[in-house]
Amino acid sequence: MLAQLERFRRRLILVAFVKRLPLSAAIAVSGALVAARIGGVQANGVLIALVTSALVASLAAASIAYRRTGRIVQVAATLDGRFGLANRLATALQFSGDDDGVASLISADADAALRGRRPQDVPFEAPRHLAWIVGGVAAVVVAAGLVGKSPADTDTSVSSRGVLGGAANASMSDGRRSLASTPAPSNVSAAAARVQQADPNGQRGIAPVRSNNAPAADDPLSRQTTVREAPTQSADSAADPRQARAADAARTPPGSSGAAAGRVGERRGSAASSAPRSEAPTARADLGGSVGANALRSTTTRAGGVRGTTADPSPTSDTDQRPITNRGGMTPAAAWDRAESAIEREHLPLDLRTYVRGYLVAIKSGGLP
Amino acid sequence: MSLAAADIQTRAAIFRDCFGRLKTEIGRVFVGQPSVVEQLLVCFFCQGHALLEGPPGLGKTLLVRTLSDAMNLQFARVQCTPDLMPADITGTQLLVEGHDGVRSFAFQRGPIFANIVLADEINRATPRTQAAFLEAMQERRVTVFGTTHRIDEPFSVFATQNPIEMEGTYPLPEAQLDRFFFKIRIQMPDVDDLAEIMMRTTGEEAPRASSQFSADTVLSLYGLIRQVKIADSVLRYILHLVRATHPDAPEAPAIVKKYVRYGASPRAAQSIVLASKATALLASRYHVATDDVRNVVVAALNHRIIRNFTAEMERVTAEEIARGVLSSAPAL
Repeated sequence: MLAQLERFRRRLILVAFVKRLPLSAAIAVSGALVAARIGGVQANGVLIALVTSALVASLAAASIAYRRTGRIVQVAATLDGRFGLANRLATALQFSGDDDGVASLISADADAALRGRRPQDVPFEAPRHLAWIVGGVAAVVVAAGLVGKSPADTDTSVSSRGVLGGAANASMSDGRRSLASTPAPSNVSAAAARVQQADPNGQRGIAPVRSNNAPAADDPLSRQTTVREAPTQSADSAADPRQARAADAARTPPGSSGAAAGRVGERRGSAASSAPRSEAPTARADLGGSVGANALRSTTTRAGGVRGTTADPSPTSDTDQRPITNRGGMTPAAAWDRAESAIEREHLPLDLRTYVRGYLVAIKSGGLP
Repeated sequence: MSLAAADIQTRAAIFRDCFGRLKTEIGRVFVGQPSVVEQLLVCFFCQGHALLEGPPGLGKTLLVRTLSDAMNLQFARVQCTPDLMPADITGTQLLVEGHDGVRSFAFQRGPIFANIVLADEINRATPRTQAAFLEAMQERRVTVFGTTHRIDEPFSVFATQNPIEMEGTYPLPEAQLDRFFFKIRIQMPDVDDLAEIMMRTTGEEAPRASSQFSADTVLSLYGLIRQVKIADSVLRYILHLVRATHPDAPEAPAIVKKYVRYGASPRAAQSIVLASKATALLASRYHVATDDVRNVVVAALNHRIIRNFTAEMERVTAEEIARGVLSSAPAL
């Protein structure tokens, strides 16, 4: 009888494991999701967290099942209840060591009661509140997704990255950047690019963020906005400028002003990196818009990657997350002089000189003169 | 199978046969209420005493007398009245004159020395007289004038009381109530049973139970019941039930906390265990199951639960409280 009870014990452990696994898994997965959301874990990290939580849930369910099933005595009592054996097994097990007539009769009775039964007769059971468990997990998943789409979360922290897929966040961020970006006239962009290219001492910084949906280039309102917001811009992205240039070169014909515009954006990004991180999206949008949508599309994509949207479907995204440093560091006066010399060298039209001067001073010195 | 096991099986078969034939024989005289008859027989085979409670005319006395007739045992009936004295029950020393003319005291046995004693309307006797039953019921011996006299086995006291007419009665003290193995409530028969009773009792000849078994047979079955095994889990279940009748116990359900002044004693647990063993044997088992416990627990507890004033005011019976305890106990 002991051997048979042992087989039933294993079956009961399995049944209890299956019964408790959904709740354990739900708790663990929900906890992992919440922790990943709070901790700002990337997609890969979330995947690892989910797998780990599933393993932990399995271990927990197995541990609980093992402990709840208990020893053979408890197994006997459980089987008595399940099969309606009127405490035969528990009593027989307890008095199995006795050497009297009644004990032998009880043992024979229990053997007979257990003879026709197999461990498979113990059916699997669904958790008691399966609907609540499923609903709870679904609610956590949905809540995590909604939290990931909140503007504050996307703007101010990297916690939204990677949870429930970075692609959705990235597209949301890009969309908002588009809304916040300011278009720039194409001639201004080209001129600024030429000046930046001609500046021999220009430091390469972070590429500006592009605008996917750049409005018409000759929108005067947008231009004003750009000029006004430029000094307050900031860029927390620290994309590798060499990669940015390579991407620009791949997208624009050789010799065109697009590649130069990308470098202008890099300088701006580096100068603006000392600004608060919370202003980063707007600032990047301004930079991208002011320099030119066409030339900055590739660097914008790269900047999205820097923000941590690891699931960004863009093929040109990268994951360069170097720390942001202020690589401007020039006094306004020196920046003014350098801008003047560059303007003179490039023979810019008069109507553009003021704008380009102010722009270069801003990105060199970190503020308008 | 060992010889001991075969012997136990044989005796168990005798027990079941005896029980069934007694039930049938009593049923020839006492109509209906098979559960009452069963509880009375279980109580008797467990060497217990029973308190039968019911309105007048329901056959309480007839039931006990029929049991005695069917068992071929010595039967004595004591009609309890307020002027009944303890010596009328236990017996007394009488001055007798011998053949040689010498006078001496001799002990004259009272009715308590019978095998089956019917204390009819026991609550009409004074507490002093009721107390005379105490030692006999518990110790199975009587002490008169410093001399102890042992009562022969089998010995059971079946007392009856009328729950309605309380004037001029002396309710049994808790200590004496605790000595009763079961308190069996006899209900009013239904129409069919009443019709059968009319047919049997108003004819030319009233049926009588015939003798089936001797005292030796009964004595041999006493030991068999006590050999039935009970698992720890079932025993703890019984103890849980008994503890749950105490309002200050953590196991006590709400109904106990509200309506009970004092709960059942360990003697209640003894009664439940023994009765469960007998019930298990009747079910052809040699171990006690929780179902056996559930079958007997109300009869064993309902006279041991002392209700408080709230329960009496709200007319909550001890039986209802016992059922509440049973329903609130966790299943094994």
